[in-house]
Amino acid sequence: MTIDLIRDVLDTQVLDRRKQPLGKVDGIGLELREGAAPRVAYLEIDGVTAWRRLGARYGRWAARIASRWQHEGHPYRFRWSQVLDFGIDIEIDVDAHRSPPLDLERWLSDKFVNRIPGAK
Amino acid sequence: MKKILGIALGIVTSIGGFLDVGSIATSAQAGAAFGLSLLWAVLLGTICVIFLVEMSGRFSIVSGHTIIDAIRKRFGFAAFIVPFAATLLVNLLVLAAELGGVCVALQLLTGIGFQLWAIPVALALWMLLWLATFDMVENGAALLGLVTLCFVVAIFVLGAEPVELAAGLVPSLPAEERTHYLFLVVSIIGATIAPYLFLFYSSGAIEDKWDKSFITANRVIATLGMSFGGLISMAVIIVAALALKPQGIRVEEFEQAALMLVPAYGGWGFYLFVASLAIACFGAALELSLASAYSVSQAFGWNWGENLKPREAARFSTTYSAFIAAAGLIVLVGLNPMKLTLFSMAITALVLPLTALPFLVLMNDPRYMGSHVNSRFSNAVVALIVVLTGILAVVSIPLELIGSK
Repeated sequence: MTIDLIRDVLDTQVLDRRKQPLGKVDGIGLELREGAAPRVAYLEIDGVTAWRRLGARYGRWAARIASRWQHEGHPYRFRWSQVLDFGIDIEIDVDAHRSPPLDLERWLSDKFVNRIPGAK
Repeated sequence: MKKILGIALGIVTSIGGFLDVGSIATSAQAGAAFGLSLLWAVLLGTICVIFLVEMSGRFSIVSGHTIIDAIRKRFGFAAFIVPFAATLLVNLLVLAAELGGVCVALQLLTGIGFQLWAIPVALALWMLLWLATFDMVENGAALLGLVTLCFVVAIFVLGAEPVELAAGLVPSLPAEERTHYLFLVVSIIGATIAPYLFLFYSSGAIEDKWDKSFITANRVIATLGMSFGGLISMAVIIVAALALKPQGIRVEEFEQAALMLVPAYGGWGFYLFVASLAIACFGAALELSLASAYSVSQAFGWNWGENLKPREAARFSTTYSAFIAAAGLIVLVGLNPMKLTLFSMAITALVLPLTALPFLVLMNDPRYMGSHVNSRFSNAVVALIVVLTGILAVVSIPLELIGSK
């Protein structure tokens, strides 16, 4: 089976092993090898990566804003060997719960949502 | 049996949810100024929206994707994000217009200026979304929306000539005020084919987990629901034409529109209009806030859904909260609600091709749709109406701006 990286993989929804949304495939990293075809080194989930595709300046703006909530582990990368299922969405063998792509979700929960009654 | 009940509910909710501040304002002004001669614009918009809503349901059923999710994947982030941002901005303007509609209804009822209502109304809207679930929101608002059927009943009370009604369904151009007429054509079509309508519908199909056994049900719901909805919009034009135009009343403000049901129902007509305006606008504001938050979440791959508690979807609930706050601020500034509405609707028509045309590309892609791709006929209908309206918007919006100075 051949996969067209740009057409079939880039911008696809990524889910964790419990089918919780992690984000989109915002970037793809290739590894160049001497005497062999390049291979996929990692797939990246990070809003800053997506904005950088629009232009370097937008990438810098996005990075400055995202630094408010991003902790360690950005840009978040996973390997193809972690892919459990590849269809409409890409399911990978991680737990979204404490993962870096959900930093914004946790930040908003702490700063805003959980402080308002009725959020539970 | 359960499916028939679902179909019935789907149709009822589309009827109740069809009318919003845009349809009421554009139809009232059209009927008062041009009589029945703009009925065809509603007909054209309704035909297009039937096709679009049917497609959006079929798309989600067959592909398992929502429309926004798929447009980003098919065209890539860089090509997707700018038209998407434009659509969101227009959504925000329309949301402000809907909130303004509720505030104007309260002003008509109490005499207290509409700006003072901006914060309480925005807060009520936000609290409902924060505390309630999807089914309550969707079905509750839409069932109350059936009060707008009073416009249809009023036609029979007032008595309309069937021949004149039929004549209004044929496109024509008046001898005078042509620029304002064309601007109203654009606004009416923009009010009828609001993009949030089919974005919302596609998200609903995913949230309600429709499978392929719903293909026919989807077609029935889209066709009947949107047709009946379109009929209510036409009824507003007809009532305004029968009740306001003979007395020479022009609708420059909602105050004048509020008189249109009085000849049919007497003093009660005023309250029926106020109730229709408040409920229709509030229902549309609910859908619009949800549709915008759905779109943003689907664009960035966040968890979304009104059946989730706010803390299970913090980014989703923050998004609609921010949207409602921003719209409330726009109302607070105190722009004329009627003018804000008409321009929001015209701009909706202007940006409609930005969502509708990429969506048509998806509907013809067998990798998403398999054997359920669009027919050439439905492609042609939607592309033609959307592109022609877009061109008309480019021409008529500047002309109207110059003329209104």
